[in-house]
Amino acid sequence: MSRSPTIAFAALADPTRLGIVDLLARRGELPAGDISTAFTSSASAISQHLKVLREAGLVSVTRRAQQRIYRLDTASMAEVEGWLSDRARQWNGRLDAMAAYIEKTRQETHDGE
Amino acid sequence: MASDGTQIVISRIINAPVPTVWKLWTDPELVTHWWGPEDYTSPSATIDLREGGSYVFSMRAPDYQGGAESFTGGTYQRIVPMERLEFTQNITDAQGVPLPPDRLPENFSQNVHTVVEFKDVKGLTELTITERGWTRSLMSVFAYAGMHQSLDKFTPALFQRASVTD
Repeated sequence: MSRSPTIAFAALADPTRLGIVDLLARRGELPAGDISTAFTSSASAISQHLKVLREAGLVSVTRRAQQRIYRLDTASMAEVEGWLSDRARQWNGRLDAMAAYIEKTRQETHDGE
Repeated sequence: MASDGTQIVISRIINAPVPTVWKLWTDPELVTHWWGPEDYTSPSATIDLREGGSYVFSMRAPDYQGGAESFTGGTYQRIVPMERLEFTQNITDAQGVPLPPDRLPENFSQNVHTVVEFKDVKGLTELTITERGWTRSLMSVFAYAGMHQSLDKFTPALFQRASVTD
């Protein structure tokens, strides 16, 4: 895991790859063949998309019997999601600081009166 | 934080009238009083307040985190006084030049389109910050109902990782 979310964003910019991630989010894990039949793209195109998602750390794969089973890589997804909430937390921290500054200047204005 | 699936939205009622809050965003000296969240400080800010003009805000980490100074900068794309600011956000150097990808801290995107809206609510200000751009596809993934439940089910312990390459 631990690839940059920037790479994850790029990987998800493609509608088919986003669709694959959505499918895996809803279905849990799926053999490559089942993923392929859910889309109109060719099997080799889907295989390429899965490769990009794998390299971005968004999905992982195991071999079971003759099948390749894909699932979301939860660690990477959690990391990306964590980044989004950090972003929101940073803004909230700034707005807290803004509110504190307003209260402080209000207090000083009153003190000066 | 709220989200409609394509963006990050932060909304807050600020205990001051719109002209005060507008000034807090557009007067560089005032920006330094709040741009550093929590234990951070903001040593400097410059603002060229016109459409096409740019800004650079600095932020210094607390000493216990190393005290490094970083810069956020961008261009004002739309300015409607007392109502709306639209600008881009980049991680920049001290002069406001966006850092190239190889010098970016892990996990940062450049050119985040940001809208700040100021709305009068009975003498106070409803401030709404919306970030768009880099999150579009990702946020739509997380917007699907059941996503978290799905993720919870697939803890690594339940999943035997095999070494498959190609």
